Amino acid sequence: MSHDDTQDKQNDQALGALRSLGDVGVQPSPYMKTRVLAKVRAEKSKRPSYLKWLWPSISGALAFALLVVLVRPDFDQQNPAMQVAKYEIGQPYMLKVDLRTYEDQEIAQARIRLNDVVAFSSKRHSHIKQLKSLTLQWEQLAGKQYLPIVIEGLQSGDGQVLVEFLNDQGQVVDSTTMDLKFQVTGASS
Amino acid sequence: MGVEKLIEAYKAGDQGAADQLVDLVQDKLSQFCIYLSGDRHLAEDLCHDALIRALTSIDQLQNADVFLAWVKKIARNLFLDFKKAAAQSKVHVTAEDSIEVEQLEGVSLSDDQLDAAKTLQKMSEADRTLLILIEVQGLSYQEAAEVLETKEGTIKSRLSRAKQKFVEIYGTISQDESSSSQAGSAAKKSKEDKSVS
Repeated sequence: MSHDDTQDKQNDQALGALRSLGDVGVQPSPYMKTRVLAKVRAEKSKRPSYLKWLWPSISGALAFALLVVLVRPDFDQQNPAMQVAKYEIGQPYMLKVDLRTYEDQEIAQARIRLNDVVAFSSKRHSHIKQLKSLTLQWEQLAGKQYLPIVIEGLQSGDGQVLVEFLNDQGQVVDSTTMDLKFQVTGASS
Repeated sequence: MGVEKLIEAYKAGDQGAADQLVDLVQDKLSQFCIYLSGDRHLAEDLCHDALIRALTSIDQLQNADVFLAWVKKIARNLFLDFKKAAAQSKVHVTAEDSIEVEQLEGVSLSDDQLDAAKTLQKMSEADRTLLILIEVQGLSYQEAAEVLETKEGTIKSRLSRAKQKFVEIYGTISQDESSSSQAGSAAKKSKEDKSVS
């Protein structure tokens, strides 16, 4: 076989592999459509006028008022650590997940997932607000007693923060859920 | 019902039309986002946000025929925004810093396909997007030009170079994979020989 023939064969193989990626079925998350349509309905419904001036005003001094909530994960799945409380929209809150329980476990990653009501909050790294999930390598958390997560509420409703602990096979070894009910500043419960 | 009719119905307030529009594009959009980002979770976020942005700003769409291409353009712009913001930060985010194509959970790829997906991640974003759109998803030059916000002529000239680059990188990757696989087999055999003796 000539050099050109070999080259042609390699080209065909490479481009064939590339094109075959189109045949791979990539299923979107089963809940994505529901979340998208719910969000679109919410966006389309008119935002109350008082929020227009309220949102920009939530910054500066308010940002320093952090509420620290300690969550101790529990390996007993029938009794997950869960707290429900009411919090203000736009206010950053720090959640701390106790990592001491996991010192002897073979954890490779911690994955944090948020529902649409909450977002990650960071003054220095504003781009993380766009994310709905973050995965942290376990080495980054080595020696730390707590995993700090700073979040804020985007809208009224039930916010949920799910922290999953994964082994090196990507399997969820344990998880803990934090429920936070968000409401507009000054609204009564 | 065609895309144009669906968009008209949606604009008129038909929520069922929104449902159908999402159904129409979500599979191809997910595929595009996953090969573009190389990360399942980031891809989901991109799809989610792109669909919301598309449906809430549907009035900006001038030609209903390019609806899918338009949504992909939104997803690509979101991805570029994310990359730009992440480049300015030192936060360690798996979705950005340690992209591992092997971590495409729920996506079943053959060895060749995995090498192809890895090759895409080694390419520039512009070349990667071009190849995904045309070679993987079979878009026309006109549709690809819509997503990449450029002219058809530019697409044609860039595609040839991108394919050439792809072939070169693919060759290197598959060679590396083959070498490491052989080394692995040799090491395993040596270990087995030792255990036998």
